[in-house]
Amino acid sequence: MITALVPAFLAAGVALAMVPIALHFIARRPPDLRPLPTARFLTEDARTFLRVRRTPSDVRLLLVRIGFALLLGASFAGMTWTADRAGMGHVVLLDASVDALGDWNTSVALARAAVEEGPAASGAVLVAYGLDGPARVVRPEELETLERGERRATLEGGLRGLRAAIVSDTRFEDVAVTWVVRPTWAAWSAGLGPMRSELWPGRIDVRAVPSREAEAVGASDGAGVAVGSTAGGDTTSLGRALSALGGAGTWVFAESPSAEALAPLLDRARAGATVVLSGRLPATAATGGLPWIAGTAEPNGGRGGLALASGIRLGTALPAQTGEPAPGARVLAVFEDATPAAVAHSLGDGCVAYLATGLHGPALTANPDYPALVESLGRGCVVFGDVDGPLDVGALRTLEGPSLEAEVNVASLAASQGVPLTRWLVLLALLFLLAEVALTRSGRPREATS
Amino acid sequence: MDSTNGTSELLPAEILERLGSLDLVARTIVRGFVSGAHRSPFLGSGEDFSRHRAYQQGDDVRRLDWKLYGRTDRLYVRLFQEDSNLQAFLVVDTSESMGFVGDGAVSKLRYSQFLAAALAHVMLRGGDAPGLASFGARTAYHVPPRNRSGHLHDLLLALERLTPGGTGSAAQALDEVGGALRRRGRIILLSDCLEEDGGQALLGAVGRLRARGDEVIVVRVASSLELGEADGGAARYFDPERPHEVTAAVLGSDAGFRQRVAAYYTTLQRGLEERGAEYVGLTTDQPLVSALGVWLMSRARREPVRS
Repeated sequence: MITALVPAFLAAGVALAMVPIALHFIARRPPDLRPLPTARFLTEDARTFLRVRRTPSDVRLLLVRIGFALLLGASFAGMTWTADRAGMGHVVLLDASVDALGDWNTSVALARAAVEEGPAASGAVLVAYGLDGPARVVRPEELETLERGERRATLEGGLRGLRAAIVSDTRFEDVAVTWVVRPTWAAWSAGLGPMRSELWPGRIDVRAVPSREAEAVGASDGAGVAVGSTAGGDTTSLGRALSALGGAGTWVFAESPSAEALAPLLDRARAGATVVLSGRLPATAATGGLPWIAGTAEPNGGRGGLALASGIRLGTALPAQTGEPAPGARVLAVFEDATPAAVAHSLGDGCVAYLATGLHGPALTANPDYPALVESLGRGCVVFGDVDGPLDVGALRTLEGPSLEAEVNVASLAASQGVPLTRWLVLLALLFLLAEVALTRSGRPREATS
Repeated sequence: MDSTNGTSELLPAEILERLGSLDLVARTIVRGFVSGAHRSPFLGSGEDFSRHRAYQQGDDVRRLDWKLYGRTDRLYVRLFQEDSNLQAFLVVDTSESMGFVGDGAVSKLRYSQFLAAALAHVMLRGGDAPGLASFGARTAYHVPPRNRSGHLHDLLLALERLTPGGTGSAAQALDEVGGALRRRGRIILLSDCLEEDGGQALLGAVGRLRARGDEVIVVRVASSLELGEADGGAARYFDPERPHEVTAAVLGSDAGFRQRVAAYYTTLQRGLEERGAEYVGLTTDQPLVSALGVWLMSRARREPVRS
């Protein structure tokens, strides 16, 4: 089967082939050159110098030119030859790295269940990644004795292994994927979100292997947790920003909490939740292990706008709190005068992030980069990738790709793995070009001697 | 001459058969084409008495008719008709323009080859001695005038080898061929007669040949297309002998073209006839045998049989 990596160039080649056809039909060319011994008795007729031909004068030359145009387009289209595929397969991707050590039996059970319950039971393939070697197809009965890898596998590595294993397996034309994995932030790679659909352009049924951390977070961060209690402010903007992150309802946000409200929030953080505080903090907060020592409010402090670690700038002349970050806290943002503006610190099994200004003020919510600020705060403790906590709902949705097709046509993915035809097409195009030159040059003397 | 049948494709059996019937006509009406009927233009010492002429100083005294002197008391010499083979040269134009095919089935040169072969056949059957010369890039003598067994074979082979090429002058060729004839004879020129100078040099050469007593026959071979009798359509036309001069024209709509070509050949014909030469215009789409017949009939009208 021949596939094209960039089919648009094929269409461009067809369009280019129209050019010589049009030129052969509309070009005004001088009439034939013919011998006539009595030509000396003719009188010149200027009207016959140029004539429009309704039929192509040289069909061979026209065909060669059309062929050259098509081959040129095909050369740029990345044509490859791949083996024929047919039918639909179900691939179960299994994380067999050290990450799965503690929950291996659960992983095996989930994988077997996925193999049996998949949409194409007869064509199920079990692919293990995170091994010492590359990802490979394993039989279900091998799982108990499988020698798992000694390093932590990343989610990106799993997706790459999935792609490689499917491309190298030439049986199926369409594939649906189930992924048995313990999705943690530690396995999350920078840039995985944008790469997700490129690595695997289809939906994935993620069967998360439960872990103690995940259970703890689940207990404290249940679906009923609302956006934090705030003292007024634009909670609608915050909700939209969280929705854009795919994690609405996952975090607890609190604006200027009172001492009474702060204590249970910190308890939830210790239990695994991510609590984002902003604005004024009570004086007792410093003794509670917060990442910020509360100071004096300066509503017109003139600190200017915020600058996130990513370089994004927000707001102007923001009222700010002053204080020093607690030891071990990570600075997430600074004011324009280089004083810390937002910090994050682990607390128990969870995380507390603090923004030294109001999160809901119009100076920030009206800024188009407001969601970036919210994401920075919400993932303040995991942004450096050293927290072995489970992925939040948004990240999981990114992995699952619910908007993508459930079944992926593998032919287009396998095109890059097939036999490339480009060099042969280029060679053939060059031969056609030489033939065009030869025909063009040989046409002139032949015409003169006819 | 049956032995020559099939020796060359120039004389297929069909044409020989047709030429046989023409031969019977030629025996009675065409001088030089009929065996035994031809009389040499020379008056000499043959067996047949022709007439008396008054004695002139220098005449051979052995030819004096003494009996007549006895009766008339005047000196007369006896003149006899010499029966001998006539030497003839077929001069074929092989210049580049003769390779033109036009709308006919064969090129002008091929047509001339057919015609020359037929004429050679007829002349040999008539006891004459045809030779072959050609001119294109240069004048070439292929076969000297002879009348012997196998001569037709040599002549036809030489004809077969002629190919068009170069630019030649008919006048120069006629001068050279006239000089090669040891005595007065017949020269048949097969050409398209398209001369650079409008045919003036050709007429001059013909005049010189006629002045020394040679018989000159000019057979003009042309195609209907180059005469303007057929529609050639729009094209860029060039003379094969002058390929760099291209004229864009519509052959069917150039009304003056046909007239100018006709005027050229009419002027040439008139000049030839004024010098006592014969002119026969043929086109390549004419059947060869009928073309030969037309020519023979034309000659018959011009030269009645001497009794």
